[in-house]
Amino acid sequence: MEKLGIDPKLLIAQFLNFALFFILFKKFLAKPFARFIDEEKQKEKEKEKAYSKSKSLEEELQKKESEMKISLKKESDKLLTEAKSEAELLRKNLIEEAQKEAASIQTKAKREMEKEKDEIIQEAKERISNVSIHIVNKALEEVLDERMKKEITKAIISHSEKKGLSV
Amino acid sequence: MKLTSRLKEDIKKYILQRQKAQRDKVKIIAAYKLSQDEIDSLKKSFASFISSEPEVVIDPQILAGVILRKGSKVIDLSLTGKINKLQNVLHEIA
Repeated sequence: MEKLGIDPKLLIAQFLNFALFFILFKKFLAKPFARFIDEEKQKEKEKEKAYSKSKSLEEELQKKESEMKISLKKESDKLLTEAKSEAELLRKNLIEEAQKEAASIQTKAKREMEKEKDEIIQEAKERISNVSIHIVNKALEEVLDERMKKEITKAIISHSEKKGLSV
Repeated sequence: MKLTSRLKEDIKKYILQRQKAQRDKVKIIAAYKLSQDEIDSLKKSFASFISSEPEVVIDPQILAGVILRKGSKVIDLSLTGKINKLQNVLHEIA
């Protein structure tokens, strides 16, 4: 062995050294390290579990959100449709009322115009008759002399006698 | 001044007489001065109306004919009256 360059004493010493190191390592370092590793693994597992839980929660929330969005959209669409139909109804009613009012105003205006026209015609007729009578009066004033007045008076009296005029 | 009851009575009688005379008084309104014949003719024609001597008043406004007035009663036989009647008829039919 010496020819091979191996020192048995050194070999034994190294072997003892290694055995001592192994015992010490196993006793004082290997267990805490293994425990630390286990703990880390456990933590990792918990983290993964929490992550998956949070992910599923997130998915659920997203699902709920999308559902809510859909329901909100439906609701808003429904409200919009209702509002549109109400507005349409209101518009129709307003147009109907406005048309009615316009028709009534038109009728009233027509009636007033007719009335005014009748009044103007009536006034014109009255004026014509007044003017005619005035002309007749003036003409008679100019034309009638004493003799004619006497004749007319005589004629009126005899006519009244015939008719038997009363008071 | 105090009025005795007798005086009051006399005044009342006098007023009543005047009122009656006024009521019975006949007024003939003519467009010109009527002759006595015309007045007599009127008296004859309207004997029941002209019961007393009429007062003749001239009003050229009535153009021709006469108006007989006794109190509140009136018989309009004037040309103006006829024209007014015609005017009323025109107003009614217009």
